[in-house]
Amino acid sequence: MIIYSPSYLINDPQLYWGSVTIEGRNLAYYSRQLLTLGLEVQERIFSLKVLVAGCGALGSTLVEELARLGVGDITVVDPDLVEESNLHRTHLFTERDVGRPKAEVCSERAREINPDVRVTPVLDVVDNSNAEELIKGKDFVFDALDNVNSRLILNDACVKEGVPLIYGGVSGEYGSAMIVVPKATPCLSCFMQPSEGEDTCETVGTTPLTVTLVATVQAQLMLEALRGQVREGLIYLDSRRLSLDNVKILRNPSCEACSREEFMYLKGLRIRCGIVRTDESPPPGSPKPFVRRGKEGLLICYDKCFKKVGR
Amino acid sequence: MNDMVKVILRGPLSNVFGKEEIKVDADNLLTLLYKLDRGSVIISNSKIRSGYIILVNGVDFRLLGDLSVKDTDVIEILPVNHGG
Repeated sequence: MIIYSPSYLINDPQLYWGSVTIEGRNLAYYSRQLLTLGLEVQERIFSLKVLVAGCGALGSTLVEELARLGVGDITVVDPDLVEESNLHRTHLFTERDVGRPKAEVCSERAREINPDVRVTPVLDVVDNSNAEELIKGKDFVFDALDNVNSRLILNDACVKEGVPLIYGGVSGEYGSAMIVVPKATPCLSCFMQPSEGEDTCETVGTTPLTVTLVATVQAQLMLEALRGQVREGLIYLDSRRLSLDNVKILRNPSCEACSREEFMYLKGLRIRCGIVRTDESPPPGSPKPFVRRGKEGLLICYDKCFKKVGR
Repeated sequence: MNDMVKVILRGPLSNVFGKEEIKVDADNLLTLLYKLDRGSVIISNSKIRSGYIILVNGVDFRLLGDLSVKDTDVIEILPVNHGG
């Protein structure tokens, strides 16, 4: 329900929007944004349900930006813990968060930034066992994952269910982003192939500046779509040269997802890097998260256990 | 002598090859890649590694039936970014 205030207040945006609410939200918070985006787009933003897949550097930056924009409902999925090596490139994590689940820290900070926003952490990986369930009912899915195989699973789920996907990836001072509108634009499977080897598990460096630029491009692609504009192709970002190029990508007529509708990665695709599901269980009565460092990497358990491999 | 084909290297590839733009003497895309990539950055075991987008005049090479190239063509090679 929209409650309007007396028209004499309209000349002062702070006073005007401060006395207007939409669905219980005080519009003073958004007064400068409303001057830019307008009420119609802002109302659409309020109504959005989105999934942010991955809460590392890109994902945490996205959660912050989406919360500040006023996105109504954000689910953020990641089972990983904050490490000291994450802090330089993340806005939401501080030293006191080291060892805590990233998705929980992101959610807490986002609620502090904008209490209007509903943020739900999910302490899980994205794989073929849960991708379709995670994206159900979402208006946009943000891909802030860190490996190609997980991205292809998420892409399959989004194309199958008709949910727009906004991909982002960084490497060094370079990054890329692309919106996938199922059946209307090319999808990730049109040009990405799964990784078969272990060599892609190497640690890739980046800067907080490049991460913020790529996450901002992803969020801006959502705004474009809300305004009815859909950009086809890949945005390639070079923060070293301060350049941002549109690279033409065409739909692949033999694409397993958007052309042939086989969705083969939803049937199973081994994820070789990052965090994977494991059959192990936490010891009875152990704290959550239960963490154990072993030869094969880090074991992280909540109700379920995950293994951090390859990095 | 074949045609000198323009190759644009994007992102970290320009650091790897030391240039953002290279002319390669080739009449076929695969020959061009072999001549360009002596360090097996893009090609390994006679296969193009996954993780690269190779565009011929803006079109993904996998969508092209004919892989011949000429001096008016522009080849762009982009590593796909997967860090998050």
